[in-house]
Amino acid sequence: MQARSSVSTVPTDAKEAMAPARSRWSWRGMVEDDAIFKWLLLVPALIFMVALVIYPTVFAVVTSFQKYILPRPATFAGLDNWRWVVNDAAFWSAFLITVKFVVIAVGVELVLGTLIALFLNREFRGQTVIRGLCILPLVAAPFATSLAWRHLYNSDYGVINYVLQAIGLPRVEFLADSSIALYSVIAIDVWQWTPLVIFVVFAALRGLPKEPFEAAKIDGASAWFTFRRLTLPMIKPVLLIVAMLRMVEAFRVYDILYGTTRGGPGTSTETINWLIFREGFQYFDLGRATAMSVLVLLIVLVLTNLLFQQLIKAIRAN
Amino acid sequence: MARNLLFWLGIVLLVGACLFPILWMLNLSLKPNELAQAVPPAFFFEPTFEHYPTAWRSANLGPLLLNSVIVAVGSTILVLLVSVPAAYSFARYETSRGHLLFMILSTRMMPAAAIVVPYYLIFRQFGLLNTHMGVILAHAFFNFSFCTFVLYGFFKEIDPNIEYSAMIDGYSRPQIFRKIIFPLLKPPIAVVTSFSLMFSWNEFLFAFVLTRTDDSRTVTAGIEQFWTMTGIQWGPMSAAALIAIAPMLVFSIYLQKYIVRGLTFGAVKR
Repeated sequence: MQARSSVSTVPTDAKEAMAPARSRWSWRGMVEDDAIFKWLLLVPALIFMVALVIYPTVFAVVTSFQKYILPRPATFAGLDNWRWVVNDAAFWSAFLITVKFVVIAVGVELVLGTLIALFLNREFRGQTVIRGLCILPLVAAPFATSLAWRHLYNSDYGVINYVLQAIGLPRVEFLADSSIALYSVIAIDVWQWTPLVIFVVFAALRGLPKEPFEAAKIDGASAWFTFRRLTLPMIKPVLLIVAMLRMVEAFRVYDILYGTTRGGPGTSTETINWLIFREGFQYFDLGRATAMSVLVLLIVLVLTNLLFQQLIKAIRAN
Repeated sequence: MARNLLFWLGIVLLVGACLFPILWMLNLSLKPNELAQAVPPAFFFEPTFEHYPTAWRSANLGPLLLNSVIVAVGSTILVLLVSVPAAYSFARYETSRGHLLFMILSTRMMPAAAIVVPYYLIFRQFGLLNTHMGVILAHAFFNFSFCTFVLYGFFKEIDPNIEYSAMIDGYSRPQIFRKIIFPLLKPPIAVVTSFSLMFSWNEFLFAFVLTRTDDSRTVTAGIEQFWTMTGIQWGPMSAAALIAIAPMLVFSIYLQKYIVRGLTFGAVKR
């Protein structure tokens, strides 16, 4: 502030010319000094990270070593929760169900989305409107739409079973049969998220260079050959990124489970998210719930790190 | 000609599949109670509009919608205040040589379940349960990495020489921001804002866990109350669900280009 008052009587342009002479630690001086300014810009982000990421993580780690069942106060419990979680069949079964959910859902979305994007990749009348309608599953709250799906899936009055019967197929217990329920939930996820893949791949297709495709056409290459050897390699980085994005998002599926199966029948659709929620907010065993949380966090970090490296390698190779 | 027909058949199938569940929600919301579980399902019937006022009153939708607006706008403003300067710092100065940026981006990988329990406990301690602020913070956390990522990509594309020459011309740093950077910021801010608003409006788990009262719960989490011990009230619930998703459906028409740009950001550019 001192530096500022000392130049306050000088005309404006002269003031700017004198900038280097200003004290480095005055407010103005810090803003004009790159080395300080770049960190000044990060102050809100750093506070944010500490308050909303680092502190909760540390808190979770600490709580995972406590016996903490609401409403009783927490007491130190050593490795009890950890021993329990690692030996808990329900945890590993939920983990496998989650992996199954993520792999199948994301796999189907990628294939289906790419096919539809290829299908839409031409000029036709009303294309903007059609694409605008396809985006709707993506913008509607998944919890709300999953309730409509619950009605559609019903084995007595659901529309899907009505149609199946009308064309002579047997009735299916979409949500009540434990060997089918997971796939029914996956179908909802596919309905909701395939548009994302469509839009991303579509944009990638529009951005491709024209020449190689014209050359392939002149050489008489088949559509399949063109796709395998030209289109697919060129959109591969985009596909990898969208796969990554989707996997992260699919891992935290919760809303549509709450709207449809609630983990059942039995534990056939109980994902990690669901299990932690049940442990923490139905049994109020927060020690175990946080031990699970931290374990999941570790697993996810390792997995995404591996995937990230693959991704970067694949993009570099292109 | 046959090919053309096949193409349009495909389009009809595609659009039908995308819209059917939403249209079915509309169908349920207009159906008299006695037809809600009719076998076979009723496609055509005398529509009734009674479920909308019922849902509005019994679920207190007015205040819930207001909560959703406050939370969505609040978390968006907060996340912009945090991520705009951070993204600029990363893009222009490579602050911390990318380590911090990577750390911020990787918060996206944290599974919701792993965060929700500690958030619940911490917010309980600080009296943030059942407040707008609690949900605002949670939603801002989720949007933070995405917003920083998009804005970072954008700032990277501004030629720093524009700023340097402005500096030589005697512009101070605040002037450079006001006169050069901010006017350029509009499109990426629109992208980030539409995503943040949409995410916050549609988010369920955190809004559900962190709030219990009508003064704080968002409308998406509020639909849950039609799920009573005696079963689901399909008519009022569908009406409420439609009211809850309607703002985003309408919003998507206006912001389609920003949403698409946001979806394809980083993936396609460059």
